[in-house]
This record gives sequence, structure tokens and C-alpha cells, in this order.
Amino acid sequence: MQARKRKVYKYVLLEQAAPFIGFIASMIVLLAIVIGMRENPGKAIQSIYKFSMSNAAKLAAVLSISIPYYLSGLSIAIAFRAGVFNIGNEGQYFFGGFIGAMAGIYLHLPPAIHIPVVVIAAMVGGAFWALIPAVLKATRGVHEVITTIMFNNIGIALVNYLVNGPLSGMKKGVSLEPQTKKILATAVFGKLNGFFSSIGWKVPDYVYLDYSLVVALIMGVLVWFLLFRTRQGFEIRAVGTSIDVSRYSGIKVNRVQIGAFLLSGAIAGLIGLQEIFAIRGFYTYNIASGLGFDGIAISLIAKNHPVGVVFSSLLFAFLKQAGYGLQLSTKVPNSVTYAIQGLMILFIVAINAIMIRAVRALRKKEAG
Amino acid sequence: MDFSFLLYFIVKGLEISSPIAFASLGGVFSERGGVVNIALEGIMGVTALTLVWGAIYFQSIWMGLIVAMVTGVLMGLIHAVVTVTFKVDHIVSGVAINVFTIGLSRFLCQTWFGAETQSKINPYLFVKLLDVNSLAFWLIPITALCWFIINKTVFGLRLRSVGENPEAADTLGVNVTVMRYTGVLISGALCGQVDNGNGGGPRIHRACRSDFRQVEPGWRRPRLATFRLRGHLPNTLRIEDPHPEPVRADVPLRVGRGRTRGPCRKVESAGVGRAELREGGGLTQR
Repeated sequence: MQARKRKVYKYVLLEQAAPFIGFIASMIVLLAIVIGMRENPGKAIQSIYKFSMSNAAKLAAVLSISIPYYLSGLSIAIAFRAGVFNIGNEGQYFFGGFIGAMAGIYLHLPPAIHIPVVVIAAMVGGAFWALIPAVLKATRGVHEVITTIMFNNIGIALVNYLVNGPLSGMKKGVSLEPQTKKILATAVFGKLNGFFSSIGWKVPDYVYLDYSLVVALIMGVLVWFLLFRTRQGFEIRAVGTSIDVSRYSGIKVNRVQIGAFLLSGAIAGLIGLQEIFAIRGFYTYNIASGLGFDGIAISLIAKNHPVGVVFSSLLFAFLKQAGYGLQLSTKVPNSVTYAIQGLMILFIVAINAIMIRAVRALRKKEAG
Repeated sequence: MDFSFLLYFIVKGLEISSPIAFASLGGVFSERGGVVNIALEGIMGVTALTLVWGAIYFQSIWMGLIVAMVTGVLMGLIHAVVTVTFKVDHIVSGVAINVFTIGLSRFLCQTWFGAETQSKINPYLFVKLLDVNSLAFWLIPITALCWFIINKTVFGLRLRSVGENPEAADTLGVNVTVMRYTGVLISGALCGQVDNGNGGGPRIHRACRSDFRQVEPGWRRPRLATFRLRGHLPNTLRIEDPHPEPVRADVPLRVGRGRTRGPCRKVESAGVGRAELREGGGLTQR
């Protein structure tokens, strides 16, 4: 019995090994590129280390970068768990962030209430932008990949118009980046740097570890709890595993998918919080783009698990910093990290497929 | 409105739409073979760059076109290996290739031209015909050819059969893997050709006219939807539910007292509790 159990562990280990092997393989490719560009690999590794984790400040920077990545990955993870491909994170966080910023600018509330209101507004905005694709998917069977991609463009263009036009906070004749009015002081996210310093982690002032970290943590715990400890989460996972079986067994597939879609959109609405409320203090459509698509990669690497997303978002943040380090001290351009990210996903999914097959073959062999 | 203006309007429309249309044709080949090719987006980005590089390096736009098509085929090969051989979900692979190609094109542009987002100016261009890029006119015969291949040839029939019902095609002796590979590779090649028609879409636009410019990732997506709508109406899309993990339809479900087999086993192993299909048909959680 004991031996058998150990063997099962071995299989689990093999099945879970894919992300690590994929990571190592893509790092080897990275080093190969570095060598191919006639650079010293030792120097490259050293520069990566120096730039991403040599001291507390660098580590804090990685953590700070990983916050939007985490929310993005979390949002995708919940959608993928339910078997819906929400590619529309991009539009959802532009729109959600916009609604949040509007709540931050035009509502006058005391600080203790204002920040939660802003967060909820952003979630509502993101969920709203996911609503139409979700309904179309559930009622008419329109493929959500098409609708959400279209909604990305609609959302970004709409926000673009609103920021440039009716809701612009610019005075006439001033030529600056188009932006809204400043967000009220009651809604601006404070930094947690003081808190971290008090527990012995010296976070310098230029690193943004703000309330969005708390929001991300709360969301992570909530999503984990929802997915793995509630009936609704069970239904979501059942639908994602097999629509036919869940429909057969009485789960209302449409309702579950719409719910997961909206939840995914709501979390996506939070991606922009850090940049809008802590870093910039106003809204502009120039906030970092592409985070939604990174989220897909992050979630895939983590196998759509909310806890795994923590690590994969940290990994992506690390890669980003590593890219800057490489670019500064060697000839290798920063853009290599994008290629490495893509390769990493390809490696992981391919190795995962190989592993699953190998495990199946081993099990068959064992069963005789 | 005089006639020459109208003609120019139409021809210019053809020129602007040709990159998207070429990629869409590629998408049709891939999709008819049963492989969703989101990666077209990224392939277009890289081929736009390699076209310019090939043209400058070999001092001929035709060589550039060939280089671009070869690149397209290579990228298609990655997609084909991952999706057909390893049976990874098509959208996952497509997204990964898109991310990969963004980095790849920037990286190559940096190493070849010294700037991340813009190439040197390419002096070798296609002949201008009626004041637009002559490759745009290729679109008409190539579209006709694609229609002919897909609808009127043995190859096309097999490709469609593989896309619609791989098992049935397999039992009739069609090699599903080979057909799918071919479909995806053709799609890559068409895509390579395309872009370069005169640069893809609104932004990569200049690839052929003069230089290559990198595009903001978020803004290039519409083409994906274009080609998907082009091939099929949404309702007839074959991939109704592209799960991250494929449903094991081959395992029969045993309904009754015993534990379920097949897809439900995964749910069970996830640590929630046992999943059981009862006679009443409710999926219960213990």
C-alpha cells in the first residue's frame, strides 16, 4: 500500500514537472542567445541577478511589477477553469480602470469608504465589459474569442475618446499627454513601504508597493476559496473539464459560464489599479498595455491555479527585470524576454503533453 | 466624382485590404484542416520583418517574398508541431507563438537593423501598378486558386474532411496528421506572402513600402477575428468549446452506483471530494 502510494506520488511529480523543465529549457535558450551574440554568459547571469534580486529594493521592485501580472493571470485562470477563453482582459482593464478612476475623481467620500468604492467600481466596469460577450456566448453561441477581441478594440477606442473628449481634465492650450482630472486625495492608494520597513524589509520610496497588493492578495484568497471550497467553484471546474458531463449531470452550464466570465472581467478591471491610483494619480489611455495578453501566458504556466499564478507572475516580473538588466550591461536587447516568455509557454505545454503521455504509458505498463 | 478617382479608391481599398485578406486565406486553410490558427497574428509580424531583411540582403523584393514565406512556413511548423503532434490546445499555442514572435521580431530587428522597432528603408519595392503595390492584385487570382483548391481538388476535399471529422477521415485512409500539417504550413506560407503585400494592416503597413515598424501588441488583434469570420459563420465554428484540457470522449461514462470514469475523475482528484454521477443525474459533491 505504502509503495503504491509512493508510485502515485512519482506520477504526480512527473505530471507537475513540466513548468520547471520548461523554465530551465527556456533559460538554456536564453543563455544560448547570449553566447550567440558573443557575450559572456557569466556576465549575463550576474547582471540578471544584480538587476532582479541582489538586494531588498530589487526584490521589492519585482514584487511590485508582479501585482498587475497576478491580477491578470488570476482573471484568466478563472475563465479558463470554466472553459471560456476570455481574451478580452485588455479591454476589460482599460474600461474597468476607467470606471474606477471616474469613481475616484467625481465621488466625494471619506477615505475609508472611498478606496473600497473605487475598487468595486473598477470591478463593476470590468465585469460590464465582459457582460456582452458572455451573454452572446451563452445565448447565441457566438465564440467568445471573437467577441472579446472585438471588445478590446471597442473598449480602448471608447476610453480613448472619453479621455480625449468629454472627460478630459486638460486645460485648453496645454499640450501634454491626454488625461483625466487628478484623482481625489481620498482615493489615491497609499504605499505600504512604511509597513514593510517596520517588519525589516527596507523598501525604498520609488518602489510602489501600495494597497493594490492587498487587493491582489484578497482576490487571490477569494478566488482560491471560490474555486476549491464552494459548490459554485466545483461547478466552474466541472464545466471547464467537460461541458457535456456537467450539462448531463444537471449543472446550468450557461449560468456558470456567464458567472465565471463576469468574475473574470471583474478581476481584470483591477489590473490597472496600481498604475492609475498609485503611480500616476490620473487616468490616461496610455496606461501599460498588453498586460491582458501576458495574463494568458501567466495563467497557462500556472496551470490555471490561483496559487500557481503567484509564482508565475513573480516569474514574469523577474523576467522583465532580467531583460532590463541584460540590456543595460550586455548587447542583448530587452525584447529577448518576450521571445523567452513565448518559448517558455510552448515548452511547457509541449512537455506537459509528453509527460502526460509518458505517465499514461507507465501506468498502463504497471497495470500489465 | 470622376472615374479615375473611383478606380483609385477601389484599387487603394484592394491594397489596404490585401494583407488582411491574405492572412485570412491562410486562416481558412488552417481552419478547414481543423486547426485554429491564432498565431497568424504573430506570423505576420515576423514575416513583415523578414521580407524587408530578405529584400535588402538579396537586393530583390522577390527574394524577400520567398524569405518571408519560408519564415511563415517555419512559424507554421511550430504551431503544427505543438497542436497536431502534441495535441496542445490550439489557442494556447497560438497565444504562445504570438508572444514569442513579438519578442523575436523585435530581437531580429535589433540585431539586423540596430533599432528595435524600425528597420532600414527598403529600396527594393514591388512594381507599382495603377499607383498601388502590384502584389495587391495577386489577391484576386490567389483567392480564386484557394477556392479551387479547397472546393474542387482531392486535396481540398481531404483537408475539409479532416477538419470536419478527423476520426471518419482517418478510417477512410486519410492521414490526418499530414493533412493538418499541410493546412497549417500553407496558412503560414500565405501569411508570409501577405503581409508583405504591402505591409499588414494599418500599422505594419509600411513593411513593403519602405520599412518595418513594430506594432503595439494590443492593437493588432482585429485581423484574427477577420479571418475567423471570413471562413465560417460563428455558429458553424467547429471548435465550440476549446477546453484547456481536451475532453476524453473516448472513455465511456458509466452511470450508476459506481464511480464515474472519464472526465469526472479529474474533478475528483483535484481534492474537493468525490464526484459521482447518480442515477438521478446530479453531479454531487461529498
